[in-house]
Amino acid sequence: MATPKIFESEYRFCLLLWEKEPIGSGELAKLCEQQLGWKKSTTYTVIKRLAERGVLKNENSVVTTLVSKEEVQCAESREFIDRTFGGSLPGFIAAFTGSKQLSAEEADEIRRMIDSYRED
Amino acid sequence: MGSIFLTVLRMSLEASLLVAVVLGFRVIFRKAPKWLHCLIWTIVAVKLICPFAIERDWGLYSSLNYVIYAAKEEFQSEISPGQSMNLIITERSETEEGKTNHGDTISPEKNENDNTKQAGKNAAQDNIIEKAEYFNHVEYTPIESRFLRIMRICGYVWLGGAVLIAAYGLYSVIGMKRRLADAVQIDDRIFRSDRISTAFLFGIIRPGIYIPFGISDENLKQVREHELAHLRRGDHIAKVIAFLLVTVYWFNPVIWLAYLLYCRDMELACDERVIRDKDTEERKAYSSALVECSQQQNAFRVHSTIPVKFGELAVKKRVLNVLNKKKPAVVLMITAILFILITALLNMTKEHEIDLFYSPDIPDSYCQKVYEQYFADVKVPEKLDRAISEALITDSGESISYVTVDGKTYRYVLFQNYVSMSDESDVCYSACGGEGHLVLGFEEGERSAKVYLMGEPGDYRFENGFLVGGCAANPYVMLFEKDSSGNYIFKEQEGALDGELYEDSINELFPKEVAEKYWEIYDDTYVFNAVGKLIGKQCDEYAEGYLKAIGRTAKIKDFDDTFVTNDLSLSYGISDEVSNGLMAMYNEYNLLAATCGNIEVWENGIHCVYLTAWEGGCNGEGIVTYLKYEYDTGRIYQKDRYRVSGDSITCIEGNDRTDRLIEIPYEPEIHIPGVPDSYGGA
Repeated sequence: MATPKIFESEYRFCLLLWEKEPIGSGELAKLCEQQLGWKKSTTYTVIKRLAERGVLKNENSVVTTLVSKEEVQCAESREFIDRTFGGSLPGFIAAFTGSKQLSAEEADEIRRMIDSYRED
Repeated sequence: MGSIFLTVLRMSLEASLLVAVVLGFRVIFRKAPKWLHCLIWTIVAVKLICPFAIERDWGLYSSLNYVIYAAKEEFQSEISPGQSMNLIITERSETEEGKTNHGDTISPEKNENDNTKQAGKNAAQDNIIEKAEYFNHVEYTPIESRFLRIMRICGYVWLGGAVLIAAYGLYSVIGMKRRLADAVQIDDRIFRSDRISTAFLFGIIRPGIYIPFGISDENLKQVREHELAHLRRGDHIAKVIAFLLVTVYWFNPVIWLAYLLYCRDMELACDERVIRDKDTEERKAYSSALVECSQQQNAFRVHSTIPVKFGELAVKKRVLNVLNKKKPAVVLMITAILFILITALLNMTKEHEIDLFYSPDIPDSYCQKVYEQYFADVKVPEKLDRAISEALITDSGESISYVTVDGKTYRYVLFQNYVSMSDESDVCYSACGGEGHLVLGFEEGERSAKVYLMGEPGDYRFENGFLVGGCAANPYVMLFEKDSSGNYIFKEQEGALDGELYEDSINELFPKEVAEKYWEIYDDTYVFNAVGKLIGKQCDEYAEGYLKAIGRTAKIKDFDDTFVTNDLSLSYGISDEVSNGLMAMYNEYNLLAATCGNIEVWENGIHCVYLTAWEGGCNGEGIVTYLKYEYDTGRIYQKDRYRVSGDSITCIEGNDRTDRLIEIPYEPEIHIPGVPDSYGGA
């Protein structure tokens, strides 16, 4: 099995877990509420999700990690965004507003403009 | 639904004009700080939210109202297909002259078979009562004009669209809320998430700033400042309101445009707030952050609760705005603020609507103002005021009666008992009368009093179940004598002359002061109409009293427009030939000879109803029924039915009057020498 990928917020969660494990899931939920501002239900959802991906295991309400901090591979957040809600903007509105990403050339041009700017 | 949609449509059109003004403002004052642009957008929002406005005497939108009104009129004058005032009287009234042998109620089918045989016999009492009840409950609902029907359908389409957009909004908010569940809190109200591509402010009551993980620490500071500025400006709430307005006015592209531009102005204003106290280097850093973030598709901006992601404002424009921001010139600021103030003033208030056709919609508050300005300080003694009322009523040949219902005493004037002195048939159309007057001024001596007033006696008739009538505001002088006990005895009155002589006769009739006051009222249409409404209201009180006295309920109206919309040739397409023929055959039905509806009259003291019904579409083919019955008993005096098709009229029931068609007497136009042709023409 390949090294599981985790996302940034999951990584933050794992940081807490590596520090405190083994830890009761109730206690973990409380900790996440304080440290991450998560609702209890969110914590349980994340525990379940990471258990499915083999990052941690939840036995008898005690949570322990299955991978070390060094082993884990942080996923590109772009990947997550693209996969979960890419194209949420209805096409017609996008076309209407002419929304498009700034191209590299355009960005360079603006950067040059900023650099050369001097107060008159 | 139709009327709600019409209001929404009107509001959106008015707001569209305002959007055009705002667009102009954005061009003229493009160098002004962008918060002023946001400010002027709020006027558009208020205009869209608030259907009412404070009234004033001048305004912008009357011409627009006129356009809508004219369109409505045009639609209404079109033929209404397939709709008729279908009274279904035909089957039911068959029970008429003949159900003696059948004591109980007769079904229509049974009726058809034997009604002819039974004709002419006296009806059984219970049948008569049943019929009377039936006829008294016939409801005349005016046909829905094509315009209103279209508007009603449009109304439902509009509502459906708005519900869909609102549902989409709600769906997206819920989705976003779920997506943000595992966002990590890094500071008070500041969260980071890897499930979003753009930094934004989300929530209404406890808004949080959500920043994607992808943003570098260097840019994080700038992003936070930007979002905090949004929070302080209250943009998260403003954007929700803006979105709701787009939901309601979704059918108007101008409103979408306004929404888009407002969102842009909001971003620019927010940028300006962030860099307000910053030096050039910091501005450059902020600008760089804008570029970095937008390249990652992470341009920070307010997202608020609104999920619809509109395009990023061109980064270049934002950067230029940030870098080139200078303190605006004082003159520019003052002019811009003045412009906004004037726009607000013009749009938050509303002119009196000029009604080009009739003026029943003058607000009561305005009438009250007119009363206070012109009439309140004329303190007429109560006795004199009563004498004026009596004099006006006496002028119409009747007298005032009183009735007390539920502890309240009403005045009324009964007309219906009018009985002819001659042997000839006498028809009284008026059911009751009334009067209204407002005193412009008066002079009182030892033995006499002279009163200058506006007012008139009025009368009411039953048309289509409504009590229709009123009175006008005409100028009069009245002379009273005072007896030893201080009672006023009416001596004589004089009114103004018409036409060219009007002005001179008024000036002769009234003393200078009173005449000046009168002309002030007369020259201002609003004021004059307000006086008319005040007087009409007084008159309507008599009509209300009459209804109480006879124990009947009916709506009191100024005029009944069903007679216009239910014209057989205009609305149902009968040919001119047929229309003229029917008018010749049933001239005693007056207007009803070729129009659907009913009129109540007192014929030699008997309360009768003349009724004309049309069964058929609008292609001029159908059955027209002329029915005359006694109001109280339901006894039918006449029921003639004709099949009408193309240019032919065929009797299918009752007396055949088609023989009257043979010679329609030609009536030459009468010219009376010295009297202009328009005289007497309504």
